[in-house]
Amino acid sequence: MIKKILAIIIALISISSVVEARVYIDITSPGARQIPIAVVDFEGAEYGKQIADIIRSDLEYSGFFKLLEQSSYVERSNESFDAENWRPLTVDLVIKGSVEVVYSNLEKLIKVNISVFDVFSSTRILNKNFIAKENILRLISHKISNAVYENITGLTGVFDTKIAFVVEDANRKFIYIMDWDGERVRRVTDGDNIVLRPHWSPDGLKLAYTFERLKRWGINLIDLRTLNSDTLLISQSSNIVGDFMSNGEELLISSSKRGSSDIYKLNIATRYLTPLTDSNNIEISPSMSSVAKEIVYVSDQDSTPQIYIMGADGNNKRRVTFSGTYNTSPNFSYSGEKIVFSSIIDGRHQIVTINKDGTGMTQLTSNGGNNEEPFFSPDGRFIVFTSDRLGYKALFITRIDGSGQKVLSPNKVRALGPSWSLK
Amino acid sequence: MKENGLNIAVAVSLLFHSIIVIVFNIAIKRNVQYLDTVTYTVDIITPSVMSYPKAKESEIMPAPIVKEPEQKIIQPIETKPEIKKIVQPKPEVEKIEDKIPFDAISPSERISELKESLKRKNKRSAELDESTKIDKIQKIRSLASIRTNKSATETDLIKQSDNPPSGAPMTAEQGDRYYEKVRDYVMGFWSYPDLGKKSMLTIITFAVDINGNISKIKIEKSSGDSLYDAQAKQAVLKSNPLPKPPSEVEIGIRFGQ
Repeated sequence: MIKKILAIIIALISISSVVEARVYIDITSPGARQIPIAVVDFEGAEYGKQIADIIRSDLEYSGFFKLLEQSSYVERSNESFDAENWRPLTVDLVIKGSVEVVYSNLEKLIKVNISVFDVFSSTRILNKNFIAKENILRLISHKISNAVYENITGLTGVFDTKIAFVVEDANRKFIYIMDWDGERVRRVTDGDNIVLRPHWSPDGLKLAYTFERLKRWGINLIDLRTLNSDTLLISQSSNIVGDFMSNGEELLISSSKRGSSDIYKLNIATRYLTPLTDSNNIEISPSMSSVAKEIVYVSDQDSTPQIYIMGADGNNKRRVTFSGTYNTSPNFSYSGEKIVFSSIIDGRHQIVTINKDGTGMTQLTSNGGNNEEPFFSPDGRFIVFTSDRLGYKALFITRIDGSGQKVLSPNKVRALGPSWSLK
Repeated sequence: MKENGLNIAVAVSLLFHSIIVIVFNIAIKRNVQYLDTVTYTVDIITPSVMSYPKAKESEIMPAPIVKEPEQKIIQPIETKPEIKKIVQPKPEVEKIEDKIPFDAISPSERISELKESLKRKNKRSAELDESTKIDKIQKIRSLASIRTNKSATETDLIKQSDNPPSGAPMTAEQGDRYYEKVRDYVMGFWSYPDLGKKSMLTIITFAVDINGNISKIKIEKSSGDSLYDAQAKQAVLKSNPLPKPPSEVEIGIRFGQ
């Protein structure tokens, strides 16, 4: 009886064993770190190619995309997208666009339409129009790069941000601003004997900077829309500007008004100074992370200049760097995850990043020259810094992993003290 | 006597449970086949599979709308979507101004801009209505295609059980070697940038026939990030055909990082 039942069971099981086992395979890292894309020249005589070139350069420098050789493009922007044409090229995304001139209230405007196509699903994943004045062709292109980048990666692009810096001629120093890619360079101050690194207000419309006149140190706030400036503070002690506080209403500065340099908050409306450090050591170079609500700065309290962190109210001070004997000019990433600073290694200044908790120290430069004054892009993926590797001080840009280092400031111009706008 | 009674009870219980397992098994097997076929069809013809973050509904192409009713039922698997024929939703417009302009904008321009944005708002809500309608039509249509495909699937099943797949089942060693090859192959076609996103996992399942042709591609588990899912799926698509397996196999790939 039992045997019969068992026999039936076995028979039934063998009949039913039709479900094949599925084998699972693990792949833990992609074969390539870049998505292959094609940016076809936009349709529209004079501007189409220019705009496509700017977008190519933006997307390529992000490090996330590999541009397909232009000679192999199989369609033009005015031809319909057919995924079958692109599949053999193993390209994942195709970007096309058209430019036309339109008039609004007798003003000449350019209207750009862009489309992003996904080759494997044969779908258009983005279709958007942009309208702008003719004279801001570069800005419109950067905005398109941002839209494409954000659509694909889900991250915020920084292609429309700006960099402010100091330019030196034989006897004077000036503040300049330029686009993140080194284009559209403009001078915004008339010049002083000494000008130190400018810092952007969180809205990207103002710059605060330190100047020296007749042996007095002052802090100016310049409105970039009007170029009017306002002196917030001037005294015989050294007053050096650091980052804005995230609310935009206060400015972090270091001042030697009590003898040794300390860090203060300067209220822009009331001009009132609140001390955040109070010691006989030197505390300088404050930089703030808006997200972490913490301030990174330099102190020599343990005999050599080292990087420290404190809360936005001056509490909870702690040392971050324990290797190297000369660590200066720190900059906090917006997110507060990383700090970039300059460290003397084998007799030269080099750019180094470190996690907020003091781990993961990484040297990004190892070039013969001195590499100093690093500053993060708002998304923390790029760093602008000063280097004298060309024989004179110039601004360089690098990706966060140290790759793609290139000159950003105009050729044969002494440029230093870079600072990256948040917007 | 007591012991015999117990044995019978155990046997009956075993029989009972195994019947449940078997019925379940068959049900799943049918179900999987059934679903797979449907997914296969839909995957290839429905563009909305590859939605990206921030790609608003109005930006994603609606599925091809076939006007003739008879075509609703007969949907050849090889049909590739033809983008050109589809009616476009109006693209979003972004007006760009220099934040730091050295020449000011005239107030009249601002007013026209405001009007524009209002118009846009109205248009967008109309588009949304339209897209939900399209979604509904699509759902109905895919149901119809399931029904027509069902009968075919059933006959296919019978045929398959009559003629088991050629090629003997793989030995463990053969399997290890083959799956390693597949891993290297698919990895070579997988590109995903280091966007700083951690603990991502997408599982893509598919079947490989005796010639290495891939079918029944499915996202078994989504990472929640559409770019990550899309790039994983593309890696599989680009790997087609894979090296020939010793016998037909079903593979799941866990794309992790």
